[in-house]
Amino acid sequence: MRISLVISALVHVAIIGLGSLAFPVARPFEVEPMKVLPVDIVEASELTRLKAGVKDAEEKEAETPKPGEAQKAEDAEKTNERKRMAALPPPPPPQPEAPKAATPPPLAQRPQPRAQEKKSEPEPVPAKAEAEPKEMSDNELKKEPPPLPPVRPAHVPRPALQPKADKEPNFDADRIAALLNKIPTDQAPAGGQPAVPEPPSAGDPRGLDARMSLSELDALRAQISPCWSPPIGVQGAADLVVQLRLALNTDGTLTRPPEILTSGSGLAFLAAADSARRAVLRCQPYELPAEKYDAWRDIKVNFDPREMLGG
Amino acid sequence: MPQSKIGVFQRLIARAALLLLTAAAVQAWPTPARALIEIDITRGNIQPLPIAIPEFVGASSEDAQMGADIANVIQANLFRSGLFAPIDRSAFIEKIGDIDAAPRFGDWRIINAQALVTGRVARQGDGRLRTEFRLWDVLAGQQMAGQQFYTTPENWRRVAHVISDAIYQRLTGESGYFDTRIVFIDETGPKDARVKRLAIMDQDGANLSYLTNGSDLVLTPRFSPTSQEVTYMSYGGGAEPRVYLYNIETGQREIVGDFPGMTFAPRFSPDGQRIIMSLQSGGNANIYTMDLRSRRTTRLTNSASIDTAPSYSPDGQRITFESDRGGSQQIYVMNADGSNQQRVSFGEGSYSTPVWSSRGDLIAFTKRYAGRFLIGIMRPDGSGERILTEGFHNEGPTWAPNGRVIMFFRDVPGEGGGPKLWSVDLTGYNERQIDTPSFASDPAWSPLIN
Repeated sequence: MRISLVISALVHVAIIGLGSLAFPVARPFEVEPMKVLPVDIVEASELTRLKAGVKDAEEKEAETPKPGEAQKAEDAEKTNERKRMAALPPPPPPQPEAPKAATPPPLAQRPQPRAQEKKSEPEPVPAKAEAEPKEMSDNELKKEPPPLPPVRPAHVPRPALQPKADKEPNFDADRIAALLNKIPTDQAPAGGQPAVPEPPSAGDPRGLDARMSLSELDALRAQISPCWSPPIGVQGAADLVVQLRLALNTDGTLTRPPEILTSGSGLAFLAAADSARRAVLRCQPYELPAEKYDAWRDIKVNFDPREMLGG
Repeated sequence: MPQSKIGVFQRLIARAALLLLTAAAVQAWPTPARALIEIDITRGNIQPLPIAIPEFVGASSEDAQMGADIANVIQANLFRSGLFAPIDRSAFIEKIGDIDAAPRFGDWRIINAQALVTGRVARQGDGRLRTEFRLWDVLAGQQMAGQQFYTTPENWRRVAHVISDAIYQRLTGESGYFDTRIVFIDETGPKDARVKRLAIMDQDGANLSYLTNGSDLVLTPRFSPTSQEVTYMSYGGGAEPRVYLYNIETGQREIVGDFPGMTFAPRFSPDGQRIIMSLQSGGNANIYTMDLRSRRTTRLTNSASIDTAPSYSPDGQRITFESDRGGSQQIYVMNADGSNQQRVSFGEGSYSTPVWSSRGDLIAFTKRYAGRFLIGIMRPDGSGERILTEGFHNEGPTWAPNGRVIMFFRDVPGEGGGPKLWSVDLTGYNERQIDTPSFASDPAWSPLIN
């Protein structure tokens, strides 16, 4: 009996062991779930139901919904605060930086680019020989040298500002407000702190409240579309699909220039990619539900002109 | 002792099993993928791109004046294309002084400029003109293009056109068409006794000059794709019209081919080595080519009907033409050797003057339907027909070298009416009249001059 017990145990262990070894192989289900989302109409209603539930049952919502609520309130306050902060303080930080970067570097650096250009110029002159009777010749100017230095300062201040605003001392005030408003003592900080940077640990970290509803996705689409003017007259315009990856701040501005994920070459692709990039740069900041920041902090946008060309 | 040993053993096994189970469970639990939201933007808002073109800077007042002229020509070119919306200069905040320093992008963003062109004009010691420009992406704060050109000061308009082409190309992804010319038939005098002269002008209407004096009737001029030559039909003093070849630079002209009957509807092959045209004999007309070097002619069609208006595809492999062999005028496509002739137009009405686009993807045509003349485009297989413009009389489409814009002439009825040149974008938008000193018909667009 003991022997059989031992054998049974060993066999169990062996089977479980094998099973655990086999699991890593059987993992074909890593499908991007978001692909499915826009088609699934049920999602929207589920979400509304969930929201209603949150309002009614304040006591039950021990883990997941509460943080959402607390988060919402806090985020709203935070964004308000941030807006106030952003509205007032921006002038000072750019000013110290701007004079630093804008005035002296160009002066200091201008001589260099000029020198480089002059170096490059002698070449064009002989190149003229090859030109036809009209004496036309063209040469690329040095592209990078002068533009870059002053460009940066214009961009850097913005992203630098907002993160600061997030972690400013007024965070405490937020938390106090949250504590006063919410009855359970533990949950407010517990839900509040990880809400923005990290998903709540219990349950599915990408729970329904972190997802964007269909109408919210539509709203985002509607914010980008009007700014997009793709080159539809180009030959093969329908194939010029461009995918961008956007990193967003909580206030809906871009953290950094959009990243072009599609690889392509040729003038037409360049123009298409530029038109997509201009669209997202031009339409920021985006109005998005603050409590779902986690869902939209990092998004992909596909610019696909096929429909516009009508086949 | 053995019992406790076994007990320990069992517990060990149980613990191991438990460990394995948890390990398996952890592994089997789906790890939440970092699912990025992905949205599709399928609808855009086609708008002309707001572009700021300050006057090009110049050290001397003379240079500054030329800088202003060049900037104005560029601005007018881009505006006419319909794809750009130049911003009124009075709105500019920053005054560009040095084009080697990056502009203050914030100042240009405020006035909603998305692109900015800065430039400089400087006369060199040897009398030549150096023109530089930089194209900036205002939103991204980057330079997109920068070039410089040397030329004689009289050539400043061409420099402006070449720069316009560079800007157009970088921003639209298509090659430009500003550094081009147009030949057309200038028409003066009363309606019943028109004097028709062969005229040539820049694409923007500047530098107009006349190539013939109006003593002979001239019709249907066509540009050579490779040289400064034009082919056209003229009576040339004879009773029957003939196809002529005319060298714009030397002014020399010659008859193409030695045929008994009248020849008409000439056009160059894409390599400029041959002329394709119609030859009439009896009540029929067939299509011939003539090699300009060997002067050898080849007959391509042989039908008891009128085959005319031939036009090569840009690769020279196929030819489109019109024929009434099926009862009404329709568009046909055949191989360059005359084989595989197929009708491609099947819509209502009759189709004529097919012209293969310089980029090869479309054929433009004149369509007569319900007493009106329309200009339209279709794919070379006849599908995707689209009408770009219609009216009392529209005729004679010709393609811009980038295959994006079509020019044609539109006649207006009535005593004082007459033909004028018009252009329309491939999308059917941006229809505009081309300024000519008098009535004008039969336009033909040159290739890029470079």
